[in-house]
Amino acid sequence: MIPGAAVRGYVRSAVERLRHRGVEATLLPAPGEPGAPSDLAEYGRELAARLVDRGSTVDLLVGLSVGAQAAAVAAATPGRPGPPRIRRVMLVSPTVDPAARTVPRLVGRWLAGGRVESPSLLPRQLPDWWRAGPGRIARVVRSAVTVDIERVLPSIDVPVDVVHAERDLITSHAYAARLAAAHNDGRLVVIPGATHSWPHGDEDRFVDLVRSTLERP
Amino acid sequence: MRDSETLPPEAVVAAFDSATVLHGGLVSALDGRPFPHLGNSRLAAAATRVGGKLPWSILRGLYTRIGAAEGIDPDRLADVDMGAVAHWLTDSYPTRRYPAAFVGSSNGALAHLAAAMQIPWLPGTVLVPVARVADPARPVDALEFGRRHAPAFLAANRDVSLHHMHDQIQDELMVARMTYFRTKWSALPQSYADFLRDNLATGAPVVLVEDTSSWPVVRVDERHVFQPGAQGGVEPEDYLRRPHTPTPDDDAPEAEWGADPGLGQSLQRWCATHGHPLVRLTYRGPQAPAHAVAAIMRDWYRARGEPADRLLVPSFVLGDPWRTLSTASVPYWTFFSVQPALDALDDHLARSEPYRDVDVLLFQHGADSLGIAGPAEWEAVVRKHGATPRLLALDRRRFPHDIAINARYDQALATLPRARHPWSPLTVHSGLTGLGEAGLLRDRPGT
Repeated sequence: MIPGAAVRGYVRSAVERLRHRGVEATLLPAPGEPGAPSDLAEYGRELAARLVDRGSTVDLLVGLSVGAQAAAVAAATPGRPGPPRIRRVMLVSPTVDPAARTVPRLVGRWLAGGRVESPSLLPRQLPDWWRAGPGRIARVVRSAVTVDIERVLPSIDVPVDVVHAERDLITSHAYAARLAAAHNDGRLVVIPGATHSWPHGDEDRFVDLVRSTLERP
Repeated sequence: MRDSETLPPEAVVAAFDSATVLHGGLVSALDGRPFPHLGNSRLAAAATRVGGKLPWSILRGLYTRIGAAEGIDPDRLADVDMGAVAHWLTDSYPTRRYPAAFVGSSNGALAHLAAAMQIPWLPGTVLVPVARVADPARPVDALEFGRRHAPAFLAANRDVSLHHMHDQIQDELMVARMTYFRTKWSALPQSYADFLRDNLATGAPVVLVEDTSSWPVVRVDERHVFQPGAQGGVEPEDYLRRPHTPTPDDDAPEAEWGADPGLGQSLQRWCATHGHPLVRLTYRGPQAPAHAVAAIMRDWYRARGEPADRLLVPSFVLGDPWRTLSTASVPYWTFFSVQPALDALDDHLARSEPYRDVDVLLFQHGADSLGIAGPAEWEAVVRKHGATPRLLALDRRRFPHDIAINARYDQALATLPRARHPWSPLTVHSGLTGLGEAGLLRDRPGT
């Protein structure tokens, strides 16, 4: 799982719940956290290269928010001939909606989205942001407005699930649906009542979704 | 589209028209948004809520005048560009590759199904309201008005037919200050063709929605008919025996819901040359698809674990496809608050596994007209089948004059319990299979 901008504490419990229910899950560094690229395209390409070097295969690569952009790049990056290193991609709350594809608009939506998030979210995120610092976060945001998932999608030749949180104020339903429709093996999944930071606080539905997705042909 | 002298599309079509409002609700659902106060502004909704508290004796005049303000000047009918209206209708849909599209007759049940499948619907008929102050009880005068003013409209719009409608029973208030030019495309408008070309997935089916209902008419011209009365709680004969009603000399597709065969033929040619299979969804009368749609959507909800034991009954334009989906409510759309629609609900409940709750929306057309079905009748039918009825957002003391329900229904729908389970759009295959099993498809690709 690739978490959102410079934060990963908020999804640790989801990863732990996956492991508890028998899914071998790895939480990757967040884009922009110390030691990880802030540039989302670079993050995705590095991840793809690492998988090739290690001979690893991932059944499902889940990207959350800006992590979805990095996940899309990783899945679209050509590897060596043979079976794909990433067998399926799940883009959760993928950024950035074209209508918000400038830094001020994206920040505006992020601020608006914060109003509907759980009060428990901010205390989870603040320590991570503190560690990353404003410079790295700013670089992630600048990168986010330049990596267009819709341009990357045609190069992804494995199934793509686009997961839209119903109350997401940062990514619109229309954009999520458009992404799913743009891929020839794309699927839109709507999470009733959820917000952009999903699956924070909703681990059981997330685990159910991941498990059912892994069972799909 | 023509030059800048033409009237803007949003000024041409009626904001209270079934096609326009159902289309607006579907646009919202494809955007993943609720559809509050029938697409009107918050300011208008607030005014409606405040005005709705006035006694009917005062509100009646206000309602009629505000509604009538939508009527366009008959001297400007030559400035109506139906091509621009078609462009406006397509332009409001979000851009994406759709797995199918509906084209043709207006239908609230099918609008809900389209929302579930996340596909667009391009209306075959829209209402152009024309300002006219007259005695509602004299349809013959409306006919003469049409004879005088329609030629300019038809000359400016070669690909439409005019179904001039006069319903002094159910539209008693409105026809005193406007007349209804229901306008049907008799060929695929260029904007529709462009939209389908640019937004359909490769090989996606196009579903022609054909309501075959017809009505006795006076034929004025090859592309112009006059229809006394309209579908609702009263049969055509009840209109025709009224005084000052012209004698029909022909039958034509019903003005509001019926399909113009020319649009279907044109769409068929377009599909054949663009690699999209045409599916014909054919039924008689607007109420016909509602049972099948409810059954399809109930199965779809149940398959993902929702209880699907709450029936939501939208009425005419009063409803919200997105709220219906996001609360996993089974929709049984009714075309008007009239006896035939009530009978249809009774039949649906008799043919379905029991529901626990039935939430009914009742559109308020402001007239205690013949054939109307009142709140107690709706509740009685629901109770008869063992379910608990609720009349959402309605002030029953004001029925059928509770106009403010148009600005309140969204708040009521927002209180319904949300769906629980993640969902993906209903597949086109499942939707069409369900319609086919209900006998509504004339033919299907690959079968």
